[in-house]
Amino acid sequence: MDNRRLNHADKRSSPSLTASRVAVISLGIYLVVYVSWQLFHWLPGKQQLGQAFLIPADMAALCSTLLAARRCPGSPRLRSFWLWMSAAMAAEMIADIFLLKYNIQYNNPPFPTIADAFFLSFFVLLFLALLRVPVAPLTQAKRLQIMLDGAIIVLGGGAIVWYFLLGPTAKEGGQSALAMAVSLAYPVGDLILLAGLAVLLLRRSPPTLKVALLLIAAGALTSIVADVVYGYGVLHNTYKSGDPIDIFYVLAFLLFALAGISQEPVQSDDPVALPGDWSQPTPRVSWLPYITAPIGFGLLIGVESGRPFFPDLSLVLILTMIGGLVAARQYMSLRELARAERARRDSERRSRAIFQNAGVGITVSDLKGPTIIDVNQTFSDMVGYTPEELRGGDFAALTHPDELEAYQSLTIDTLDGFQREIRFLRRDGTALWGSLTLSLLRDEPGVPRNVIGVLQDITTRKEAENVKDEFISVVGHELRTPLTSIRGSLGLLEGGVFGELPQEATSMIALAVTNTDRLVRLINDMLDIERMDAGRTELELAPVKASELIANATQIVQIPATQAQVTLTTEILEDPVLYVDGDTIVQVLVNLLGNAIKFSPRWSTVTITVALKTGQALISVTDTGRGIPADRLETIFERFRQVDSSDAREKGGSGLGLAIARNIVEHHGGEMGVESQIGRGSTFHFTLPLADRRVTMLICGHHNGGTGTDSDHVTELQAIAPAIAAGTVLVVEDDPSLGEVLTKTLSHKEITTRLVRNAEDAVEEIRRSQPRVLLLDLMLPGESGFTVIERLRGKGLLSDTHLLVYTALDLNSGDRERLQLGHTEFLSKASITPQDVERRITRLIGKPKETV
Amino acid sequence: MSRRLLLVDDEDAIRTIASISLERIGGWTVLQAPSGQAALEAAQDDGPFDAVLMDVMMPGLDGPSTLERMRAGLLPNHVPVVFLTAKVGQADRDRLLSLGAIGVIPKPFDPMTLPETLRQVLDQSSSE
Repeated sequence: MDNRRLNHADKRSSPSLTASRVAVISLGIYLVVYVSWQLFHWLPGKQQLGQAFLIPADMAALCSTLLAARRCPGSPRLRSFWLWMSAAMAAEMIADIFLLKYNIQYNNPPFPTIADAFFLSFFVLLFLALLRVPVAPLTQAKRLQIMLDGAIIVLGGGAIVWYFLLGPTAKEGGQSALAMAVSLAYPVGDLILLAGLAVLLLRRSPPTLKVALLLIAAGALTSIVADVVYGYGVLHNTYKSGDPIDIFYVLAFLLFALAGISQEPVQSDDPVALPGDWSQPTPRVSWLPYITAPIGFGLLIGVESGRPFFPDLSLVLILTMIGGLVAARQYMSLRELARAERARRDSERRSRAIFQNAGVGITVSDLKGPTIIDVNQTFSDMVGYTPEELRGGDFAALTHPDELEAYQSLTIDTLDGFQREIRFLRRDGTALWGSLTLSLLRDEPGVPRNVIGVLQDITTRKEAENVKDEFISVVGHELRTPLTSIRGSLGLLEGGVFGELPQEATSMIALAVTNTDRLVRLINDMLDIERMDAGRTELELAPVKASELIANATQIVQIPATQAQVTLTTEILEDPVLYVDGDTIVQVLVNLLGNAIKFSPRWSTVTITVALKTGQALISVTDTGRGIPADRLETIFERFRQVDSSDAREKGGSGLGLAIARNIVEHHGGEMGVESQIGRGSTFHFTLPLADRRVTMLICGHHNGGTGTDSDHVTELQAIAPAIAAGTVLVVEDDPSLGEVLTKTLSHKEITTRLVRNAEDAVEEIRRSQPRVLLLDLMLPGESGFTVIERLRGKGLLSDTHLLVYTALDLNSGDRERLQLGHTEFLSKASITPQDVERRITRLIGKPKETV
Repeated sequence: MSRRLLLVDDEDAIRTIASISLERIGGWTVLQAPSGQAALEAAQDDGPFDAVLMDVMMPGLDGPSTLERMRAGLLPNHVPVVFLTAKVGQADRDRLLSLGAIGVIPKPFDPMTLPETLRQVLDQSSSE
């Protein structure tokens, strides 16, 4: 779509458009010159030279159709259409040249001549060209209709032609058989052309050809009119060479020339050049027969009453035939309409049956509200109401109050395809767990009208999940307690606390220790996974250096590494401060390192690298082990999926380690992946967020327009100041004297204070100086402090910040929402001292740099 | 004269393992208490102690509550208290430290290194 618009825009300024303009203007001038020659009779006595004017028009049509063919290199069908068109134009031009020759040569030109052969081939070639126009595929009924239409047109037109031309010609007689045949061939050719055009206009043509086909149709009609007038003139001996009726021919060929010019470049038969919708026939009642047929009748009756050429019987016969055909056509149309209506009703009934009997709950609601328009029986059964009770009600009222916020972020754009597991309220007040999918119902032009909600009852599944989670949790903890004692006792025995044991006893204890460890690991991993599944993992995010985490992890795996005779090396290209839960990341590293050590050959090296990658830290663990087959690179992160099932026994892994590791990384907003080459080794890598996010304090208060200074702010800021170390404090305060006092008190050798009076200046100042602390009076007169935050959000400012809102005000949930900006934390002055705030900031951004 | 340690844990097995470890490897004299209530009685009757090692989660009187009552006169303030706990999140650690404990040793512990770990915790607090 965009592409097409782009092409269109390109063409506006392209030289080919200028060329087209010049061509169109030239053709116009040519027509004016010719018409004025005819009107004002320049060169009297050289009337027959008028024929010469036809040749440039033919030439123009020939050139423009050839150029049109060249403009469609990508579409063979269109190209061949234009080539056949140009062949037709060439035939006409040759015919006109011959005719001119005869006109100059003879006072009374012979008939028929070679010129007539070319004139007739023009019809054939044009008809063949029309057959090349790409058209939509047709149904049987549609084809029959078109044939009927064609028959009506040919019969109606034929009747006209017969009574004007053929009848009189036949009656006059006295001509040679050839002349007779040729003069009959002209109107027949016209009729064929007419039928061809009718068929094209009744079917749907590709949009790229629309203008061209209309111009060709106009040209052909003009040419047919000219032929009829010409034929009449010849019959009545009123036609002279260079007669003004040639204007019709000139006009016809200028129209053909315009058609060629109108062809836009087509690079290929792709859907952009030939969009799909043109090929979809829309059911419509064709108007053409109903216009042609009465004209035919009218003319027949008119001609018949004035000049009785023919016996009454044939007139009755033709009238009956036309009448019969029109009736048949009418019947076809009605039948088709009836069938369409029946199909529509069937489809409606089918949809209704599916809607009512679907195993899922379905609701249809409007965009406002959302008010329920319709629900199916399944949905009403799920929530325990009748459909009648639900219709007209508010959809949100059925949702569990705790889940309402799920809808709040929904817009028309995000609504389509919204999928969520959400709780609903049944009539009896119990909760219904449902998997809700929303989609938009659009009308024909694509305007969204309704929201369709599909609800699946997953209450049983949710309950089962809870039972399972609880079971794992309880069993896990129950198993862990005795295992801890077993492991502790074994540890004391193994450590020789009770003296030296016999050789065999030592090896038995070692066996027990290994397997107890394995069991403990399996249970711990299972509990970890269960906690993550249940969404109970709470990360304790804090800034920590990558090198520190790696040092911790390598220390833990040092003993197994030494035992396996594997060297650990660390390449720290950058040592970023990460914003992570250190313990869990150490767990990830220990897991990856443990695997790498297990699968590394002796005397090899396992390398840990840290680098920066697009605003994140990238940590990789590389081994030179046996590698992982390509088809396993993804499945190894699934549960209980080791590369080789014997690994679980040999290497003592639980099969959960990588699943947990990836899960932890993803909880941090990072990604984990692996690259591997068989026999060469593997590299596991993962990304983690950096801690260099900025922290912005928002201290909210309000003064009740009264007197005095807000001394609280001053003491607070002095307490927080050490954490800020250096930076800008922005005071948004409308009271000039209070603002003055605040800024003066806060000024410090490292801290710059700025004072602004209104929301607009505040936003501007924040953009410019990126303050660390924002002192904001929420109750600014006129526009509130909320306005500042809303504008910042609108401009995307401070969206990457960690915003700490420190306030004594009692903020309700709506207020809190309005103050959200990036990651936002609310600290209440009632429970958190400024010293706590300082500690919080220090933890977020690390220790402030010591000024040396 | 070896130093005296009060070990409070409701699980017999854990208490046994820890006390063997601390006595045999660490050279402590360990007095065991199977509950918070028993620990309070021991603090009153069997003192003085050089250190207290106490489980957090216990039925009845839990670790923090026991500590709170001990500090109310039963146990001199200079006697260090170390908690044993399976939960070692930063927030949990901070909370326990704010109650007046000097350190936290994570559970499950390795009985072979427990005395060393305890020594480090005690050294660290005394040097501060």
